[in-house]
Amino acid sequence: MSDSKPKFYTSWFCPFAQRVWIALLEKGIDFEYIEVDPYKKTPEWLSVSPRGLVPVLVHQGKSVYESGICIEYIDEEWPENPILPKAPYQRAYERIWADHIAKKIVPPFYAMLLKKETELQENAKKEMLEQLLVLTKAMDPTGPYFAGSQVGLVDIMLAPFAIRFFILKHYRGFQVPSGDESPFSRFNKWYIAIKERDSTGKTSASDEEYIGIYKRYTDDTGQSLVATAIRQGTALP
Amino acid sequence: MASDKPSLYTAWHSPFGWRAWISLLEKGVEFDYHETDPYEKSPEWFKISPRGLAPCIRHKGKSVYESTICMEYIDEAWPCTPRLLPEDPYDRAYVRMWTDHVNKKIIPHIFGMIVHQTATEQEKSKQDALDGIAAYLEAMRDGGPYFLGQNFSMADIALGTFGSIFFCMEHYRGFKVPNEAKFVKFHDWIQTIVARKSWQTVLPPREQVLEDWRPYAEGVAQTELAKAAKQGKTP
Repeated sequence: MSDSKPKFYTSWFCPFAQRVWIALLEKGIDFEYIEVDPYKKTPEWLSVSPRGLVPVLVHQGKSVYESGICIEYIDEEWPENPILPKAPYQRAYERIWADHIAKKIVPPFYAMLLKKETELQENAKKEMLEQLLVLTKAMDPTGPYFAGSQVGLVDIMLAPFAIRFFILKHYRGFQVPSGDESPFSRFNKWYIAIKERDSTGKTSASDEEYIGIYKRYTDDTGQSLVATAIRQGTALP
Repeated sequence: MASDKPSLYTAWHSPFGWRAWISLLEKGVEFDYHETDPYEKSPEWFKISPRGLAPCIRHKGKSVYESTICMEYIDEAWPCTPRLLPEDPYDRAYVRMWTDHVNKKIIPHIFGMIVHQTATEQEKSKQDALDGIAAYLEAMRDGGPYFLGQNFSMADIALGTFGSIFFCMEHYRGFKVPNEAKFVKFHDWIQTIVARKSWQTVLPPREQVLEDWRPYAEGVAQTELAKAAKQGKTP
């Protein structure tokens, strides 16, 4: 049945959309990839995506948006290769740490790039490291993934941002401390494991492409809702 | 041995807290209620709620926090009726999307209109809140009286907790949801919601609610909530 194949509306550079792309690949779901320019808020696009944002999944004629909600939808509609565990507390734990990423890690990521004042950039770096450390301490000690030997929601929510950390290094000199003695050694072990996964490689662009696309954040010409929110100091959309 | 009986740590005046409280009441779960001041940042509190957030549910030695996450946890840990999320994956996504909408597009403006001290900012917050409410009402399914139609859900709790104290926003800022056109549905909906036993149990007396919001309205509240609300964020 043709309408049982979901349509995945995405933009190649968007880390939020990459989360859903990774989830689709991890689940082995057959889907249609549709590249959109989310800055062109055409009536057609807004009828698919009421907020005008990517990612959107359209399945059986109905739209699902918000990356975390898309991933939970995918997990529930196609139950094989589960992304979330079964037990209620384990599920809540994944959601709690996904929420931590949304509220405490994503904002300093953008602030570091968008803020013009060095002091604010430095604050963002400090904040990012502090919150990454909190997340690191919540990881399963053995791993290598967040919850253990299986990839799950938190891994997928964090991966696209972690693989863009080199952009933060390029433009702002940000680096997660390395070395076995570093408090981030568990994070670095996670990062190596996630970077090696097929789903990460297949959904990532080249370093040069990322460096190029993120330039507009650093020279303050970014027009996205995310950029606007960071400049105004309001919540991300 | 870690207890199977949950404990709810919450503040009497918090509509976020009411979300978790109402969810437990609706499910008929036996629980211990602990009145909490989340601004009292004691080491004991951080042992219970690692990010210091309320509401927080302690169950079987574990902590669950963030009001929306609490609602989903309660539905999954006690999967009896009423289900707070429906069975069908798309319907579940629908409830989550519109709960997210309430959290991002309505609640920040409810706080905004109270904490902002200039008329211009207040009017903008009021309009933004109405826009968010209009979208929610348009997404409401036919058949009523609930968001999903005949079935009560987390989407009703998400807005219905704040909606039940809109008299406070009216008192301080003249905010009213119009009783006409695209807003007509709101009034029938909130009346049905507030009449539920769980709402009647959690809602404090009007005067106490008004007193609780006064420092925010008068611009003297120093809480994290006030600071976040001024930036259009809610913690």
